[in-house]
Amino acid sequence: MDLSRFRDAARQTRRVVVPPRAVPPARELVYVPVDADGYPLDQVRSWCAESEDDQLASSPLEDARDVSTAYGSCLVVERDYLIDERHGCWSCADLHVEPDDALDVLAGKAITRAQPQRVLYVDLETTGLSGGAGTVPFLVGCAWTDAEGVHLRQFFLPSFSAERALLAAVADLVGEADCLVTFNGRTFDVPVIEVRGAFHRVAVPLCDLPHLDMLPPARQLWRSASVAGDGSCRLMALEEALVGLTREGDVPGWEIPGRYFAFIRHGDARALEAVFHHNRCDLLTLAALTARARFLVRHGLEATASTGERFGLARLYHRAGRLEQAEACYRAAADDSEGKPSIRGAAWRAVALLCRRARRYAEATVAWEQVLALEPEETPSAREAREALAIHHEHRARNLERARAHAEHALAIAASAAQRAGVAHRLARLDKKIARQASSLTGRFWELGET
Amino acid sequence: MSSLGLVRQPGDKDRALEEALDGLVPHEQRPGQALVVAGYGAEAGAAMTAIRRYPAAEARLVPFPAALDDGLRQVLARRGITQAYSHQAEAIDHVLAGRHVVIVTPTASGKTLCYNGPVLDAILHDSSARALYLFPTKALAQDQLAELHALATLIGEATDTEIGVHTYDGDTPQDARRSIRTKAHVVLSNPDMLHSGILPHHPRWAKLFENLRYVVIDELHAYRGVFGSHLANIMRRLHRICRHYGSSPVFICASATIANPRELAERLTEREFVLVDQSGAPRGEKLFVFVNPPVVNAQLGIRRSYLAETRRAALEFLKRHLQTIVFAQSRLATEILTTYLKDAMPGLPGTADAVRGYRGGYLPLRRREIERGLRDGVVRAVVSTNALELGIDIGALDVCVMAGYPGTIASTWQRAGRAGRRSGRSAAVLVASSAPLDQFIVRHPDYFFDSSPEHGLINADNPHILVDHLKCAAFELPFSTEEPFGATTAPTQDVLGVLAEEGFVHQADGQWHWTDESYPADAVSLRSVSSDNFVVVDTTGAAPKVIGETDYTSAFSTLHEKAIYIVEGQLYQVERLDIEGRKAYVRAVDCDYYTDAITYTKVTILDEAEEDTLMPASHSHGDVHVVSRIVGFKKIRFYTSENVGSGELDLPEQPMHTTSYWIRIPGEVVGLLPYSADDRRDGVGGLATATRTVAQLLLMCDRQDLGLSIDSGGPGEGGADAHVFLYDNYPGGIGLSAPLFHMRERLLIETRELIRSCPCEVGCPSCVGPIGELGPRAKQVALALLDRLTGIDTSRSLRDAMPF
Repeated sequence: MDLSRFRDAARQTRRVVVPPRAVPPARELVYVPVDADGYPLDQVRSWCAESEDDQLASSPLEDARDVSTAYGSCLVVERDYLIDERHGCWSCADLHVEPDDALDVLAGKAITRAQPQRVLYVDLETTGLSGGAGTVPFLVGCAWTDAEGVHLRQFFLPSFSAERALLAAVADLVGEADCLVTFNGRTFDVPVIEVRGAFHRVAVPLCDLPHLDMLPPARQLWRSASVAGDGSCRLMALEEALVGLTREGDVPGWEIPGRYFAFIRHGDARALEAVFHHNRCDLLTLAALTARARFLVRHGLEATASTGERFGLARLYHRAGRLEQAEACYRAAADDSEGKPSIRGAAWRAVALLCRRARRYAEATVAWEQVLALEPEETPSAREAREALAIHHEHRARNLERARAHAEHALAIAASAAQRAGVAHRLARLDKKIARQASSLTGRFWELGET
Repeated sequence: MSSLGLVRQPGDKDRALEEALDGLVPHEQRPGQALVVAGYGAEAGAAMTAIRRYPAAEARLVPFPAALDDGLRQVLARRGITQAYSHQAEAIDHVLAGRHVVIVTPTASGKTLCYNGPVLDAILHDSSARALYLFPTKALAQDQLAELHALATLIGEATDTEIGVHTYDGDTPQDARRSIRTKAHVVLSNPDMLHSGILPHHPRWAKLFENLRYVVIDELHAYRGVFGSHLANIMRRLHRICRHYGSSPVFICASATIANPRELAERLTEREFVLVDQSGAPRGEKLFVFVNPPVVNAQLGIRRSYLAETRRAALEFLKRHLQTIVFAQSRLATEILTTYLKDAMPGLPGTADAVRGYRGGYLPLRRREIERGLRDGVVRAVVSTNALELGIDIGALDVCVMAGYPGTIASTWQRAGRAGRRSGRSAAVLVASSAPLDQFIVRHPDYFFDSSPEHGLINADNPHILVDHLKCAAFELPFSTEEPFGATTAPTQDVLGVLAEEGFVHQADGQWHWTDESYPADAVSLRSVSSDNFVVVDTTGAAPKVIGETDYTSAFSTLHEKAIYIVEGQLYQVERLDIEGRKAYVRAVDCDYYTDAITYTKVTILDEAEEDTLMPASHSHGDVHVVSRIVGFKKIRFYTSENVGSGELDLPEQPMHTTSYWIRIPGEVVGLLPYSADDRRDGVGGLATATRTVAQLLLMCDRQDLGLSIDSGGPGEGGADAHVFLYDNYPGGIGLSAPLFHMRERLLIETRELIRSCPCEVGCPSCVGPIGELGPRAKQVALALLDRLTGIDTSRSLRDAMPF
C-alpha cells in the first residue's frame, strides 16, 4: 500500500496545527534538520551540549533509584538541600516552618483540621499544556522540609508504560503528608493527576489531600511587587523579586515536552537535566514563597516589607475574619507615603468600610476623606467615598451643605443611569431639607423680629 | 392572518388548498397535456407536469412491549400514550434484546420514543446507566432536550428517581460541565463536541463510558460525505474508549428516508443493524405537485425565472392564509425570494413580520425568534435554505414550495415533510429551474416518484480524515502494535509508522504513544476544510455591529469587495474584505441588483489509479490537485435577471488535493470533427456540463459534492488532448470518483440520451448549457462527440456498471 497519501495528510495537518494556548511553539514554525526519527537534530544536540556545560553534568538519571510498586517500577531522583545550602537569598534551613494555622489564612478557608505537620510541595512537568487524555506528567517533583532543610524527590517516568507505577510511588509518599501545596495546582497539577488516575482507574490520594494553591495568595501579596510590573504573577517573576534568584539558561516551558519526547525516542536523558533542574528550582521557590507567606501571616505587620505586601496581607487577614490585624495592615499600607496612590486609596477604602461596619463613623469619615485625597475624581472608589460622605453629613453630622457638595460631585461622576437617579434623589431631598431649614430659620428670625 | 380575526374551520383549510392549487396552473395544462412543452409560446402559463396524491393513513397501534418498565408505561399513559405505533414497539423490542436498530419512518411519526423508551427504561432499572445522544446540530439537541426533560421529570416524580438530562456542547457553562460529566444520565451532544470536548477528555467522563448502555444517532441521513466520513472515525474512537472502560453500548439510529439506512448505519458505526422502516403512525393526505415554468424563448430554451414562478406559487397559498415554507437552493436565492415575498405581502402595520427569511449565518437569537413565530403562527411564510430541512421544531405547516429541485430525492422528501405533519391535507410544490437536473426530474416525474432515494455515501478511509482521527485516537489511548483502527482497510500499523516518522507518536513496549504537545482534535474541523469563520460587520450606523457569519470556503465568493450581501431582504455592499482578520465590512445600500461570483478552476493530475482506454477516449480516476480562484463577479438585476455589469477580482487561490474521475479525449479525435475550433470547444464544454448532470444523478450525490473542470485542449487537428474532470469537491475525496469510473459506459450513454432527447433546438440550460455562454453549435458538436465516444461500446453489457 502506498503510504504517501497518509504521509501528505499527516504533514498537512502538522502545518495547520493550532498553537497551544500557552506559548507559541517555535519548533513548529522554523525549519530544522531532522534525524531518522524525524526529530530536530540541532535541537537535541544543543540541548545535550547545554547540559554538558552544566555544573551538574550528564544525565539526571545517573543517581536515579528504581522504586518498585505493585504496578512495576519507576525512577526517583532524590536530593536534599541541607542547612548550609542556599536558594537565592534563602538559607535552605529557613524554608522549614513549624506547624501553624497560616495555611488556612492563605487558603482563605479552613483546609486542614489540625495544624499540618508535614506539608508536601508538588510540581509537575507534563507532555503538554492542553490537558486531555494524551497529556502525561512525566516528572512529579515533590518536596518537604524538616529541621535539617529541604528533601526533594523527583519521580520520573522512564517509559509511558511505567505510569501506573509512578502514580503508585507518588501515592506512597503522599500517604505520609497531610497537606499539599502547589503553584496553580488547582487548575493544572491536581486535575492532571486526577485525570491520570481516572485513566488508569487507580485511586490518587494526592487529590484528596487538603490543598493550598499558592497562586491566589501570591497574587494578593506580591502582584504589585512582580518584576514584570504588569501584575502577572509567574513563579519566576516572584522568584526574582522575592528569592533574589535569576535563572541562567533555564529551559523555557514550551520546550519541556519536546525534550522528554527526545528522551523517549533516543534514550538520552542529558537534555532532561535542565528540566529536572527547572523542576527543582520551581519546588524550592514554591517552598520559599510559602515560607515567606506563612511568616507574614504569623508575624503580621512588622514582618511586611512593602505597601503591596501590607495591603495583600491585610486582605488575607480580612478574608480570614482577623479584622484587627487586617485593619492594622490596611492602615499601615494606607499611611505609607512611599506607596502607590492606588494601593493607598484602596487601603483607606478598606479601613473606611471596616470602621463603618464597626460603627466607628468618625474614623470612617476620616478614611473616606483620605480616599478622596488619593483617588482620581472619576474612579468608582471616589464616587463611593462621595456617597458615603454625603450620607454621613446628611444623617449623622447634619451638615446639609457639605452633604450637598459631596452629592453634587457624586452626580457629576455617576457611571450609570441608576446611580444618577439615586444621587439625584438624594440631592432633591437635601435641597428640600435645606429649604425647610432655611425657612424655619427665617421663621425664627421673624419671631425674633416680632418680639 | 389571525390578526384579521378570521376564524377558520378545519375543512376550510382543505378547500383553500384546493383553490390555491387550481390557481397555480390553468386546467388545460394539467398533466396529460403538460408534456407537450415544445409548442409553448411566450404567453403560455406554467405547466403542472405531475400531481400525485398520497392518501391519508390510519394509525397502527399495538401494546407497548411487556418488557418495558411499568412506571414508564404508566407515565406515558398519563400523557395519553397508552399504545405504541407498530414501528415503535418493533424498535423497542429489538433494542431491549440488545440489537442495534436503525429506524426510518416519516417526520413526526414518533421516532424519539423509539430511543427515549429503552433509555429511560434502562435508567429506571439501573440508575448508573448512561446514554449519549448525538444530533448533527446544537439547535436540534436543544430542541430534543425540552421533550426528553419533560418526560424524565414526570418519570422522576412518579418513580422517585432523579434522572439527569443535559445538553453538552460549546454553549454549556464551564461550572455546569463537571456535574454533567458525572451526574447526567442522558447527555445530548453533537459530533463536534464528542470529537473535541468529550473523547479527548474521556477520563473525566469515566462514569459515562463505564456505564454507557445506549448511543443514539438521530438524523442519520445528515452524516453523508465529509461529515459522515468524520463521524465514522469518531465512532471508531468511541468504540476504543468504550472498550477501555468495559462497556459495549447498543446503537439506535433514526433517519429520514434514504436508500441505504442500514448500510449507512453499519458503515458509520461498524456494527450490524436491524432495520425498522414500516411506519405505524397516522398521516394526513398529501399532494405533491411538479410545476415547470413556461418557456419564454423556445429557440434558446429559456424559461420564465423559476424564482418568479416560486413567488407566484407561494402567493397563491399565502393569500389563502395557508402557512407556507419556501425552500430555496442557496443563501442568495433565499434572500431574493424573501425580498419578493415581503414586497408582495407588505402586511398591515404590526403584521410586518409575516414573511421571514431563514438561513445559516443568521445569528442564533434571530433564528430562535423565527422558529417560535412559525410555531405560534405569527410568521405566515418562511423562506429557508436547507437549514430548516432537519428536524427543528417549527410546528406543522400547510404547504411547502421548493424553488428548484433540492438536488437529491431524499432531500426533496425531507423538505416536503415539513408541511403536514399528522392530519389534514397538505401540499408540496416543486418549481423546476432550468438547471438540467430540474428539467430531467420534472419531465420524468416517474423517475422521482418511483425510484429509491439516494445512498448515503461515506469514505471513512479518506487519508486526510483517517490520519486526523488516528492522531486523536492515539492521543486518547495508546494503540497496541496489533490493534487495527476500527474496520479500516488502511494499514493502521503502517500509518502509525508514518505518524511516528513525523514525530506524532512513538512505539515502545508494544504500544504507540502520543508524543506531541498539541491537542490534535483542535486541528480538525468536521464541517468543512477549515474551521475558520468570517464575520460580517455592518458599518452603516455609528457603532459597527456583526450581522452574520460565513464559513471560510464560501467567504471569497460571497464577501468579495463590491459583493452584495443580503440579510432578510436588506441589501449590503461589501466595502472591504479583511482576509487576515476574517472580517467583511459592509454598508447598507439600496440597489436593484445582486452579485454572482465567477470561479476559475484548474486541475492537475497527480496519480492515475486506474485507466481504461475505451477508444477513442480514455477514462481514468485518481488523485488530482485542484486550484480554484474567484476571478470576478457579475451584477444581476432582480426580477429580470439581466446582466448589468461585472467586475474583476484578485483573491487568493484555494488549493485542494482530492480524487477525480476524468475523460481524456485525444486532440486528433476533437480535431477531426468537421467544425470550427470555437464550435469544438463549445462541444466539449456542452458534453462536460451534461456529463456532470448525469453523474450527479447516477451517483445520487449532492450538487456541490461534484466539481467540474474542463480543459478543452489545443486548437486544430494535432492539438493537445481535451480533459473533462469530475472531481470530489472535498480535500482527500469522499469516494465518488471510483464509482463514477466504474459506471463510465453508462455515464456516456445516458449523457448522450439526455442531450438527444432535450426538446430544445440548439442547446439550452437543461442539456449542454445556455446559449450565450456556449455557441449555437454546442449541442450538435457534443452529440457528434458522444456518438464517437459511445459508438463502439454500446454492445458491452451495462448490467455491472452500477456500483451499488
